[in-house]
Amino acid sequence: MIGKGAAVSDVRFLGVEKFYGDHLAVRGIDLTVQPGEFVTLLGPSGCGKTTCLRMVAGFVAPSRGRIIMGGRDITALPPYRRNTGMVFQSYALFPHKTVAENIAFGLQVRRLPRAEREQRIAEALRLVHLEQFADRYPAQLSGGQRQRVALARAIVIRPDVLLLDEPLAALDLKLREELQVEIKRVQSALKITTLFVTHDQGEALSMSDRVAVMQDGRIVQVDTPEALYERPNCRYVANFVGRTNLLDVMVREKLDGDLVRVESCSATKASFVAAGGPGFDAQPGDRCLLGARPEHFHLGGGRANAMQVKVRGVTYLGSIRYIDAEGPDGESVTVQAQPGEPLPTRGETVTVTWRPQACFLLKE
Amino acid sequence: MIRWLALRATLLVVFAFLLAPVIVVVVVSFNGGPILSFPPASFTTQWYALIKPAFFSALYVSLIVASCTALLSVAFGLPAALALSRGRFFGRDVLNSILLSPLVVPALVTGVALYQYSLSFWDLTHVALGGTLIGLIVGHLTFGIPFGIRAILAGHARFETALEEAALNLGATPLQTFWRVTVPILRPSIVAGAIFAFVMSLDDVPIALFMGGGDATTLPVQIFTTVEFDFGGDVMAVAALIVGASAVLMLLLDRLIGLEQLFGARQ
Amino acid sequence: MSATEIEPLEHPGRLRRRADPWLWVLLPTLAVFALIFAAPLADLIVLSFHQMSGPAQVGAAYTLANYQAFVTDPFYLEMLLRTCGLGLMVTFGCLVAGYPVAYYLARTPSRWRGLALFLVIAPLLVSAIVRNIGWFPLLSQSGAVNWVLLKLGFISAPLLLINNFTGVVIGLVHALLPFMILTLTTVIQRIEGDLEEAAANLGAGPLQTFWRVLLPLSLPGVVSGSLLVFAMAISAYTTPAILGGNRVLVMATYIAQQFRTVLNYPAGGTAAALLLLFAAVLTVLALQVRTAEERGP
Repeated sequence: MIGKGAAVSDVRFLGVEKFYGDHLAVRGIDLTVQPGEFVTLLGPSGCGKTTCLRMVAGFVAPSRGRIIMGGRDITALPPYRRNTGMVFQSYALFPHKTVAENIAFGLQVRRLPRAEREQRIAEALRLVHLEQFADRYPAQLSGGQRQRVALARAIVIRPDVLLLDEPLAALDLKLREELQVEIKRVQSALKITTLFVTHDQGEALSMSDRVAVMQDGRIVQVDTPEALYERPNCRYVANFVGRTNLLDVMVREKLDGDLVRVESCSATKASFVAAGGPGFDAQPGDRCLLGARPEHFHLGGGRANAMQVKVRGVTYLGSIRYIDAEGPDGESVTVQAQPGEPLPTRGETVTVTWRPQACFLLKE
Repeated sequence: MIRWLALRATLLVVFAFLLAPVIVVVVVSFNGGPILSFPPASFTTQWYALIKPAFFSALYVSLIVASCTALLSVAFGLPAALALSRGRFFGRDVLNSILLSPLVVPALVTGVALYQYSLSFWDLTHVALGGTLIGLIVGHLTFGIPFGIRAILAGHARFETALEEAALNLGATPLQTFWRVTVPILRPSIVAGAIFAFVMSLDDVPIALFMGGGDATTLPVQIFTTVEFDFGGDVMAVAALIVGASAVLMLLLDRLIGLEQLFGARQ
Repeated sequence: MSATEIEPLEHPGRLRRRADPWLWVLLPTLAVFALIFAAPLADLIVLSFHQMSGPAQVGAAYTLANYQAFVTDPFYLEMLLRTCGLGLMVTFGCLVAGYPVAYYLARTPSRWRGLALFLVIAPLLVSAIVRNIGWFPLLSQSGAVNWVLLKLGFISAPLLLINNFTGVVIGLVHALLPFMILTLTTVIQRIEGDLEEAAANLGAGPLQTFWRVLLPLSLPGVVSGSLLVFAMAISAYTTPAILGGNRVLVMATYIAQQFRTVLNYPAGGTAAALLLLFAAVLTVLALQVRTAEERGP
């Protein structure tokens, strides 16, 4: 197995910052990727996620801070001495070399003896199911096949860390989903520490052990996919990861457990009970947001929280149907209809209810 | 309908015009009668046998000068092109224009300037540039290097720098990356630049006219001076042979370029 | 090492001004260039400010007399006029002959396009001197053209088509036509074919479509191609020398004459400097027009 005997390292960002002229592209990044962990940097274009990845690879030097890999400070090391394996967005396969020669490149540069080289190349090709394509040139391969060659080339050198820069961005949906599974399978089989960059939240949630959501050069929240989804810590994360309903509310009183009574800031001044979540420290009188995922809102029913909304329309996505509605103050409310549930008509006023545990409070 | 016919007719006339002198050269080289007259009086191959030895030595000179020009053009052109496309130094665009400027200077002007310069050079150092092979090569490098730079710059524009990053990432040092990745991928443009410099050097008259002389006479100059003073049938035969060689060269290049595409050169 | 023990590395936010290493890579080529091109040209320009002190000798005094002569002496003015005239006629000839071919190459879907393109480029691969030689059997008094015209009765005495100005024009049009065609083809290709169909749909005949749609839209390319061909026509030496029979005096042949036979180097240098100026300015203008056109409206 390729992974056996590979040094499995962690990666640590310590106070990393990057200036481009006067523009602060990356600020105050402190992040640790545990050995063998799959961490994704998630965010829109320009949020600094690729810059962070390239700093680990060594193509960008941090303006401040350090990068530690497996206990070694690699901040000043050039890229060819870091033993990271990178999969580029454009695959960057050498057009003048065959698939096998591409994969061999890193091994040749490390002067591995021929027998071992060939054995490792064969293993790598088997791992990505491309044994038949060893003698083809990149130009003769499809996008998905090139992707897999790029992956094989990166892992065959037994890197301490695997870096993936939006590798699936150029592929269509079906292929992307297939390859997400492939990459995850290879990664967990080899237990390589992996740092993955993407703007696709579905991809991030499905593949990662943890996700770091980034905005404007900062990490806004780092958590497991479940925690990010169920307990986002701010509006940005709540909106970036899945759909959320957000209502302006004011804290009224703290109840038992971490339940909090809040009052809606709309004209109705409706009262809700919501879960504060760990670290929620707002005091009575503070304004905050009450968030709930559409699948936790129900039509009718006698749950603790209730609200009247006017139906504007229905979005049909096949297995999922969203009811788009308007709250008392004109705010947007989305309810996910239960399978088989009859849909209300446009203009109808319905009652939406939800349990206190099914919503969360967050600061802006 | 009439528009297409008129267009077709015009096209035929223009294409005939473009090819006429080339075809005529070959046809007339077999003319037994006065060489400048038409139609040909009789058929003969005598002119080919009467080609003076001066033409053969001139061919030899041409080939040597062209080969050296081609090699030196890419040897100096490659680092320059890389520096111009990747460097971020002050005055980069200005230097780019300066290095490509010989292409807007008339070859005649370069020729007389170099001639003049070689005289001053002789006065200063007593080293002769004019009338030597070195002088010819130097003269041809004035356009060879810019052609080389331009060809490689064009190829580099399509170059994916991610490929070099990939090589570095896989452990290759910058020098290894240069030899194993950069040069092989740029090879088609380097070859194109060399071929261009080679062909331009073979064809040049003004610069070789002023920088050459005596033993350092290139084939076009030899033909030029012969036509000026002694226009006979053998010159026509030489010209016809050049047409034949060019045709072969064209076919060869066509085959080669076809092969280049296969070996993974992009698009 | 724990996180609290590590001091953050302080790099300044501004980039430090270090000499870019690539500059050193450029240096050898730059040095060679200065030595073999810049220095000779500078020398030539300096030469133009001197006067001849004897055959192949140059006096020591600086003077503007050479340049003055060019603007006052009728001999020079006539030569300048002749050079411009040559350029204009050649450019016009290339435009008229080249535009239809360019249109065909730009618009035709036919499989003969590749061959046609090859035929346009092929003459360029045969040395210029060879093509010039080929004109003699065609244009001489006993040559093909005169033979056909005499036989068909269009003329009664052979026309003088070579060893004169006419021959030079014909030869230069032939040499520069491929450049004009290639430039115009690129330009026309960029004009959507739909526009011509729209014009036809609205009632415009072929000539009107050309005049009102094609020509205005291809004008920048026409200008750029013309400037380029003009510059190349006035810079050419080999063709005017051979096809002009050493009788056609334009700037290029004058310069060569001064350096080869008359041995008045300063006079030749002045003419060369002027020719350089004209040709360079025109070529740069042509490229500016081309890049402006490529950038779009």
